[in-house]
Amino acid sequence: MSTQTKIRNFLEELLNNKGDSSGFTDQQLLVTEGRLSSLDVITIVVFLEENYGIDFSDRPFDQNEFDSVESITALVDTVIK
Amino acid sequence: MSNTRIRIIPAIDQSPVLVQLAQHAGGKVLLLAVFAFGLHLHGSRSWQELVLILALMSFWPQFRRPLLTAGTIYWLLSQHTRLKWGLLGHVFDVQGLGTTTSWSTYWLSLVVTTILFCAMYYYLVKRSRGTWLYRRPVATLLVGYIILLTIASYAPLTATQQAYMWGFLIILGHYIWYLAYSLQDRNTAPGTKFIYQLGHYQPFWGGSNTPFPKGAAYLRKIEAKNAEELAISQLKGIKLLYWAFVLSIVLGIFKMVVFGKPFYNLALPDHLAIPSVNDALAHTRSGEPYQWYINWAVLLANFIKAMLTLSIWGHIIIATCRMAGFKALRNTRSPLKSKTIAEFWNRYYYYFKELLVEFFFYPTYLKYFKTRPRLRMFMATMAAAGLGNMLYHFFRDIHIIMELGIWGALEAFQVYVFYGLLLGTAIGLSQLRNQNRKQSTHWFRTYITAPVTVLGFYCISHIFGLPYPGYGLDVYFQFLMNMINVGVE
Repeated sequence: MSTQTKIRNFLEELLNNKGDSSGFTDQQLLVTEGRLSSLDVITIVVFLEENYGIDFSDRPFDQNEFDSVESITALVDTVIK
Repeated sequence: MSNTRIRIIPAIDQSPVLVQLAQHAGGKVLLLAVFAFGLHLHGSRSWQELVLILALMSFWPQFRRPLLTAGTIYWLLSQHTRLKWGLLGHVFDVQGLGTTTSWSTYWLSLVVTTILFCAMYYYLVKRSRGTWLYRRPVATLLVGYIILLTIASYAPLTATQQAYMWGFLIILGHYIWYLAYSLQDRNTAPGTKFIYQLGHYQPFWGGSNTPFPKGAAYLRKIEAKNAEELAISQLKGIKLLYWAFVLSIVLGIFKMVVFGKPFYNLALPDHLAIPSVNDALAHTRSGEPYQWYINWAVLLANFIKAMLTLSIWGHIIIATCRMAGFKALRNTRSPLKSKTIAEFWNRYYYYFKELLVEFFFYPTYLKYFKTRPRLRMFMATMAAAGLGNMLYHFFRDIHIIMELGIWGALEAFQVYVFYGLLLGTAIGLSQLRNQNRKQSTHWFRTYITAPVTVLGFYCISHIFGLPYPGYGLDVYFQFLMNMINVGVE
């Protein structure tokens, strides 16, 4: 499964748990639109730490990087390269 | 089942005809006129100037950023900005500066000094890669500010030095979270020049020490990219402004019925005459508390008033921001629908919560207790809702520090410290309890237990977070005990 698909599935599940079953595109800004909260960003952080071994303590943290499937995928690609 | 909802304010932003109309010159004029009328209804004394800036931004959206900066500077120079002018004037008078300096020279020199300080600090951080300052610019700023407060409180300064030192700290304190967002934005591509960052150091649409809506990076993301997005943003702004007006009517009637305050020259001959919180606390302190049911009424009435007041204030700010072409989220969004204590915190005062999350929650969560997930979450929440919350209010209430010195102010802040700890603990536990848990949709939980628990908690606890009336914690606890008829003779 590609990184993008894995992230997409995770976000779908996250939204479903919040009772939000409407669809979204890979470019859609889910935090900016208010569909995901800062607490959800933390859930994404934990997902990325556990699945990709990313350590966010040694890099500047920018909530904007967690806004869409596309931006999260780009973040993972940048860090694990 | 139909999804049609009854709407008090029609969903004008979803009408293709109106969206189309709003993209043409005539439509823009119409929208501005409707918005101006809405501001007038809200009693805005500067609605003409506001609408003029909005008109320029509507017709020349390509110059939105420079216009935002110009509008904000104008707003500051014309003293519409809520910059603790009264406190600055007090310092100016008390230190007797009037004989040697004019008032405008005094405050303008302080504003320019503060801007220069912010710019220098911003560029210093940007050029300090690999240092502590680069990694922790906000923490360094906050610690530096506390050191300056201590110096101002206790150093043997002359009257003039005191006046300028406190004046600088008052203005820097007002803008400190705006500077924090600028520092956060320093690495975000494509970045915003510092001069344009200044455009949202309390923009002309309003705000407080809390930046609405956040910083430059966020504004770039939510900025309308084309005529259609601008039209939708403006229609949403109008909708929100008129919703705020509906709420202000509800608040006016509520205050008339409950507190006996006249509303549009109307006054009821009989009203509930519920006392204010300060009055109830004063009675408690004097040993003559009100009856237990009056204390409950005081608490409930004040909570409802606080929710409505905050909603209306935030809606007007965000409505104006949307009219300027920024698709900002509401500051208060249906707090009564909250199913958990943590959710209410997110819905009640969104931009304040975001500030605490960005500068306290994330740094703590990402750095500490990484091997202990539950402790990690709890401590990060405490850092935000507890420590960050206390620090924010401590800086905001600088007049108390000026009066009592930094140590005296810390003592006076015991009630707010307790509030911060209580809030941090409750939100932290709420988050732990609901982490990775699917929300219950059972009607009893949705409509009965959740609202009673959540609103009950905030209704009771909010009393500790009200502006400092000068009482110790014991008075508050006595007030609460009186509510369950304990301690009343």
